[in-house]
Amino acid sequence: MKTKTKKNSFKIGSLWAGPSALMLLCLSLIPLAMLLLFSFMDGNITNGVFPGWTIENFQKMFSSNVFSKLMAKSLGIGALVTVICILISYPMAWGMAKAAKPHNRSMLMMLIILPFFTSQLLLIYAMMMILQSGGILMTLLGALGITTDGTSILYTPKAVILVLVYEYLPYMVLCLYTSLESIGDNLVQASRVLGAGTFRTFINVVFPMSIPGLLSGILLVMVPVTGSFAESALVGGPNGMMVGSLINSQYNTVLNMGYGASLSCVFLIILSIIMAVVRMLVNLAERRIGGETE
Amino acid sequence: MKKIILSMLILCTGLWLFTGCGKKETPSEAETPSTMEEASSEETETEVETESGEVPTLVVANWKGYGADEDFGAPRFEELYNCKVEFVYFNSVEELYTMLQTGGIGNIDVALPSTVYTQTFRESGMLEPIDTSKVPCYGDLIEAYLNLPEATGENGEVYALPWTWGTTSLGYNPEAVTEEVTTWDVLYGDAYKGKVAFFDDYVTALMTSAIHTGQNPSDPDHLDLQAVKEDLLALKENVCTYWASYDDYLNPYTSGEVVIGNMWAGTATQLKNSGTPCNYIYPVEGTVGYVDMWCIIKDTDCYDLACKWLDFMCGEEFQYNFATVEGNAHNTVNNKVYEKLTDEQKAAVWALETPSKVYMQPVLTPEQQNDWLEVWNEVKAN
Repeated sequence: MKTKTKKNSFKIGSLWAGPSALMLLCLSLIPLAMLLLFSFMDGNITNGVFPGWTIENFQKMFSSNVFSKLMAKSLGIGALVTVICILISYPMAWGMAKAAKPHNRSMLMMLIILPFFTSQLLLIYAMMMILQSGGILMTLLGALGITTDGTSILYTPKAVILVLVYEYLPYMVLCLYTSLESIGDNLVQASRVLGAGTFRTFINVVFPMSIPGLLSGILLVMVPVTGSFAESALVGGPNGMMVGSLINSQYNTVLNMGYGASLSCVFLIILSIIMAVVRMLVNLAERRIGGETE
Repeated sequence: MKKIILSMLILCTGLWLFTGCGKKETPSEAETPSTMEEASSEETETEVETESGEVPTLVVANWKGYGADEDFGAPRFEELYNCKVEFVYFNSVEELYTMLQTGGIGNIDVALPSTVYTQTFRESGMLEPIDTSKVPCYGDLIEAYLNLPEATGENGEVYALPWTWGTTSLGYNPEAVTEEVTTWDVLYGDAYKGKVAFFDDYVTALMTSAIHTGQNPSDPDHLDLQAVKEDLLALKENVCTYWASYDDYLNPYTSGEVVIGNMWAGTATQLKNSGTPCNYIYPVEGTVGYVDMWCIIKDTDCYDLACKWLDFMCGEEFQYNFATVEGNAHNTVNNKVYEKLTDEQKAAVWALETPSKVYMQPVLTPEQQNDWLEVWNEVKAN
């Protein structure tokens, strides 16, 4: 009788999962399979005629140094932006979760998510106005004697990093806030009572307990930053090209769907491997710091 | 009972999912349909209206804000021919091509590709030949832009009519660049290092560089791409930004971060009209040119109305307004209109002095397109 009930609840559970499984299939698995198939396509489908299969897309990608250069550059920018976001977000999220009074938290949260209410392109243009020569920031720095008149960091890699940090910081703050808020105050207090200082408490208590939020934050920041191209194209100047621009040019400029798909596939695989390694390293650090053994 | 409720819920969720997936929104007139399916849903509605005795509808594919949707464009045409004009906007000719490939043929009636793409469209069987007897203004068009090989079929059929022409030439701020500028060499010296803007379009970039290195950019079969790449890499040392739109150019130019570069004639016009000093010249080595052309799309169900649209767009009334509209004037292809223009009006579109050498964008094979783009990407990634 008990087995029958279990079987029934399993069936009901499967039914509930149906719509979401269908969505996953239609919006994620089928497009990924199509991407993989198209990466072996020789050019583009014209007038409904399939151009045939080839492995030349991959040969071209690995024989040219454009993809490897841009991939390395994009990963570097992605990693740097993620690290900066983590460094800024920890104190912000801790302050919101533990130091701010409960009635102020919702207002602080509102301020964090405020940039989401406007379009990404507008955020970039707003930053451009601030960073350009004669803009608020450069005028202020000029008045303080830090920069000379007419100079600006717009159209340099620094501007790309700054704009990307500005855009993706809220994701990291929100992920860390959720994790830090769930840490009980008595745990921190116990650590202090047992003689640990602020740094040791952070390393041995707070950090290990915030790992799930940190991992989500890394995923939400690093993946889109590495694949971004609008920011670097608009504020990056002559050296602003990233791997996303290369993929975009294959679809939007020469309609070479096959090569574009192969670039996307390899990009996706590299990023997945890197994220798996990051996850492994962070989990390893959690076990080591937390004093657990494998 | 629980099972029944659960089954009902799952059924409803499933239905909601499928209806949600299948639902197509009909965009309003001001909105840009992002896919051809959306555009076709508009057209279906129109066909129903037509059958019920309403006025006929012409579906026009064009760039947003590019002449045809001005007050003296589509609204005037509607008034003259008692019809309705609906626009489908695109952001690049490649997007128009994709739009036509994914259901646009039979739904879009007329479109505006540039010369270089007219041949691609024609060879892909997307265009209807134009019966020039139904376009009375045909005889008034400037001969240099008629019978271009890209727009002409094997037996002399006309597949596209010129509408406006322009150049991507050398523009500069005369307050910052005080020397006399006559050549592309000015971009390569140390005088304006970090103050140059260059068009982020692989065809224009390679053509401009080919002109600078003394090659014929209209002959892609014999282009030395290695020399072009080295030239573009040398230029990159001086570039502040690669621009892709009016805004990309206007912002750094007005803030003084850019003082010189290749620019559209329209950008120079806009800068001058906004009170920002700007000179636009045609370098002695030559300059890159383009012609935008109207085509009738295959399987249109209102061929005669499409011919009337072409006649109106290239005719005297529209062309005069288009060439003289304050702040956004364009070059005319109509002889009668050109003769009517004052020197001041010609100067407003930089047509008072005509360029000695204009190289039109060549027709590139898919392999050449990929090779050219590869060179441009290598320059930008370096």
